[in-house]
Amino acid sequence: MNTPAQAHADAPRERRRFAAGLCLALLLVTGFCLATDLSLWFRNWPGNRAASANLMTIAIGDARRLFADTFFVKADAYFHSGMYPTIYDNRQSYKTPHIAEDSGAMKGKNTGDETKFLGPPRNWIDAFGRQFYPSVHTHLSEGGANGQEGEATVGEILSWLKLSSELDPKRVEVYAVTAYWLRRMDKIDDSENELREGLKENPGDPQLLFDLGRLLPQSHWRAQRLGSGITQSGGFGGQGQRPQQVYHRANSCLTRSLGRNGTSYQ
Amino acid sequence: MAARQIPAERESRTIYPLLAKPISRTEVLLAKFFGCWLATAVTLIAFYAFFGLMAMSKEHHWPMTNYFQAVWLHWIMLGVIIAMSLLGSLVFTAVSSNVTICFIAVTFILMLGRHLDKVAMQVGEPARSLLMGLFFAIPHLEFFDVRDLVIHNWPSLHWLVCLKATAYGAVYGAFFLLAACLIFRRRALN
Repeated sequence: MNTPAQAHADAPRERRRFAAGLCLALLLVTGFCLATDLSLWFRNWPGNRAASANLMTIAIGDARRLFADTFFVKADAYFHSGMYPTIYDNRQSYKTPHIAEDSGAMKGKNTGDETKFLGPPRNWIDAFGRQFYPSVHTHLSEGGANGQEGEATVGEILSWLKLSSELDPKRVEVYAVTAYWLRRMDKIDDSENELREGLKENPGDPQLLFDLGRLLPQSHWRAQRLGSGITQSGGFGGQGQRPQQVYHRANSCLTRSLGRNGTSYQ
Repeated sequence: MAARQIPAERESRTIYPLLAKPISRTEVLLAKFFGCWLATAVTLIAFYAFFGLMAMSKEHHWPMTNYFQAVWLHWIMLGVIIAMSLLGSLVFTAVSSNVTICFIAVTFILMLGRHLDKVAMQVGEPARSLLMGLFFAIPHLEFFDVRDLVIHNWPSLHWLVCLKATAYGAVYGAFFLLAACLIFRRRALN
């Protein structure tokens, strides 16, 4: 049982507890009020990542461009079956990824011999160690690591390119490179879809439009279909036209059409 | 796991009844080493089998020789690391410091080991000589990492190369174990 003296001594402690409780309640109410006000502002803020439909954008923000670049280079490393220069090697012949250089999507800046960036063995450890990692230059499109791989093996790079384009949809060359290698693998429809995907993200991009036009004569059936479609729409004639003429006219027609309508043509 | 073996025995004082039996300290240490090494083998085989099955389901072929060489060399590398950790557990007082130092050393060797001589050529003396000395002294664990060859379907290694790498790993493993045995034999247990 508390004596009157103890009760008197406890009174300031009680008051302090009450004051602390009051402060906590006040802070909670202030936080709640600020949250209601700030959430409205945040929703309309242009830098709001949560507004993005892309989960990757929400998770990693602009760092996704860095990852996109890494995956693009990774695709090139897979194209070389893992034989790729590290930051300690001479990278003069690997400044531009070879998959992009071969496709014409990027202007090549490579100099030197791409097959000899390792140079001669520097010592016995280097010479012995080269047997434990890919150290012979090879391309997946030319037989790969064991020299017996078919053109279909190039498909190994596609998943990396897909990741790259998903992370940075504005990077046009990734679509162009993907479309080129799909075309090499005789997957014309997939190649076209890839270019269309790229155009959806980068409307009117001249490189993608050009590649889309270049894709058409690869399939005779497609050229015929396009030719008849253009004839029906009151354009140029179908019968007797050479594929070269169809290609040039289709290309210019597509360019104009896409420039006018944005992203797609029928 | 290897880093905790001896310190845990000392902390719980189970090392005393263990050494009271007619076995030497060297035998205790070797038993600890082989116990850890076999445990890692089981885990390693499980991981490689899982990866191999996944790859086989996609590629419809399983280059057995490549996988065997990869598992074998990887296991040899783990043997060297276990021996290094056992030595570390006798040199460093705290388990955490041993684990951290071993982790940093292994990561450093795997990432920079084979490039150390190139880095050495870029710097002046005496750093150059020091780095070159380090380059030749460290165990080149990258010799045992042939995962890139497996992933990219490179032809399997020549068996003689595999044998040389095994001998290289055995030399370093034996060196660390011998050093650990020498320290453990002279170390007071209290």
